[in-house]
Amino acid sequence: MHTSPLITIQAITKSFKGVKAVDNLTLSVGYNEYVALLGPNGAGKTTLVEMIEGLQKPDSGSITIQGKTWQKDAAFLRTIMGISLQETKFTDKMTVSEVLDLFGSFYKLGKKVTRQILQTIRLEEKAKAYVVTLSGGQRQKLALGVAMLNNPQLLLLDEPTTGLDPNARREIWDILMQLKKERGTSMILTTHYMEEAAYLCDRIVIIDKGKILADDTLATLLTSYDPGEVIAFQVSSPLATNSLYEIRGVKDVHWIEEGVKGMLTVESITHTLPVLLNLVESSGNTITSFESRKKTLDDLFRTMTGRSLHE
Amino acid sequence: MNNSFINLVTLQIKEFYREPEVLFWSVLFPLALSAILGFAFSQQGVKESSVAIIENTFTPIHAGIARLQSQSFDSVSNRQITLLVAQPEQAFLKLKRGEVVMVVEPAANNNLIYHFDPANEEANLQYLLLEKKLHSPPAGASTVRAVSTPGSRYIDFLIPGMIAFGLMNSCIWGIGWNLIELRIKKLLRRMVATPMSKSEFLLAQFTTRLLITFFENILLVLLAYLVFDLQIQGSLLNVILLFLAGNIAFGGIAILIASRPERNQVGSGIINFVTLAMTILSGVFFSYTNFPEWAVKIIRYVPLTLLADGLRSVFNEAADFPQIALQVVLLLGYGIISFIIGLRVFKWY
Repeated sequence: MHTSPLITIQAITKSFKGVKAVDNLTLSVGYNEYVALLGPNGAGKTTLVEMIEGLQKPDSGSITIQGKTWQKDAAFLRTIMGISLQETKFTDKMTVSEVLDLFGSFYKLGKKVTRQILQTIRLEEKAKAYVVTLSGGQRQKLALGVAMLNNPQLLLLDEPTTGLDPNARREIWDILMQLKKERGTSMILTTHYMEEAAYLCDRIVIIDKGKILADDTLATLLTSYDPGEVIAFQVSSPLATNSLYEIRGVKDVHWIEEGVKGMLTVESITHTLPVLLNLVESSGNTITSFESRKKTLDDLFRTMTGRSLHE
Repeated sequence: MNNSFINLVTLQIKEFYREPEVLFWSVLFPLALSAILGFAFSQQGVKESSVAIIENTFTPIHAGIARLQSQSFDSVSNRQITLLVAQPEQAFLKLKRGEVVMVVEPAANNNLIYHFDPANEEANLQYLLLEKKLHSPPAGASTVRAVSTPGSRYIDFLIPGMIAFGLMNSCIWGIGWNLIELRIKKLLRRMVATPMSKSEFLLAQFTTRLLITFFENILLVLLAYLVFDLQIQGSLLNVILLFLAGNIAFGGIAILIASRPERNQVGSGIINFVTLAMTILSGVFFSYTNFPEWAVKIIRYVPLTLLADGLRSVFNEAADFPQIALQVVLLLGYGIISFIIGLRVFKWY
């Protein structure tokens, strides 16, 4: 057992032209722990990850990884990390196995290792294909393969599945889960996708404007920060806000279109829904669209910041 | 075996022949340019030009004009001159349209008035030729001997210049552009995040370019030898020495140029500026001695000029090492200093 965390980040700040991208942020990641950084574009996720990767220097604060720092032990830290940057483009006219061999040779790894990785990322049949001919999913798998070459203690993936179709995304998830189980890897992942964070990660860290808004397991986040369920609806003629608050179990009313299109936060859908339907029908109104669901991280983010994760 | 240096070099060379366009622009284009320029300026055919003579009252009685035939051939300048007799307006219209290079107007007492643009060298030449024919022959006899031995023809001037020019372009575009592109694609950033050695990476860039430029220039020299009978009068060792120094100079300059740009347009702008400025100044195609004297003093020390002059002196004047030592040392200096500055300010990510 490790007594101290793998990564300890102490009060780091990083500004670009006077704007704080990361603001006095403190975070730690344990061994064999998968952590998701969730936040909208420009929240500071990439800056944070790049500082952990040693590609950017914090203005203040400290980062230690296995007790080592970038200032003193850069060479060592590079050997224990696997990185996938946002949109790295490998050279068009290189083949998949050439890319793996090239990066493998930077770690002084033989071709035996690179061929194993080719299997792990399930691209054997594309070994001799040029990068330019690969699909988005295949390119991401290749980038992941490059990140996994050195059997890293720590994986840092910046939006590894953005823009991929569900099948390709699922495949990458499977590879990552296998890695966690078989090799005890730790991972920091940035993503826009809540379901990705939920599926892969032990902890979810919600970031906005360079600060951590919440840091916990998905279940805890959803129950303790702002519990409840959501009913979204649209009606043909306006409803009064007061009448909705009078229904038992309604905690919040959010109008997307005043009186007509709204979202209710309720304690329990099953308790509130019959009363709501009754209210609408008895006043001669009709429901034109309707959706009820458990709260998502996006709802949580909206409660915390008033904005959506996807803005 | 999976060696990173060998991988870096072989992958770049593979990319080179996997992209046919790259092969065309870097190898065939300079060859074609040399061949075209070589043919254009060493052409043996007869050049033709026309002169208009104004028809006025003096034309029939002018002693010189009466002696002239409507066509005459000058063997020294290898020119066929056609005389067109025309009315004044017609004659000047032809001059404006460039159909004739000059208008000759007969005047009283066997005098002549020449109308032509003194900046037009062809017209100047015609003036001298006609003056000789139209007035009494000079006192003494002069003899002209044509010089066309290897070493003093235009092609002999051109090919060493083309080697220098090709070397500059190949290094600055090949290394400079490649590095800028790797940075834009964030591949550089990705590579630096591994334990890859930076100096090994840059050395691989340089080595690749050395192999490629060697191949390119073997072809160029071979073409010049087969088609134009180009001879290297000096030692091949000195050619190789200058070639290496040139590679180091332009490789270093390429790394300096590529050290910062993060956008395509900025990168190509800087590269174009540097290569175009050197191409215009350095007298690759034509001698730079036409520039003002103060400029020539500076131009002599531009890297491309140093290399072109050095190669020319070895190719055509059989210069030995002491005569090219200054050029070699200065080229190495340019390369090493640019490399050191470039490396210091280099933006890896």
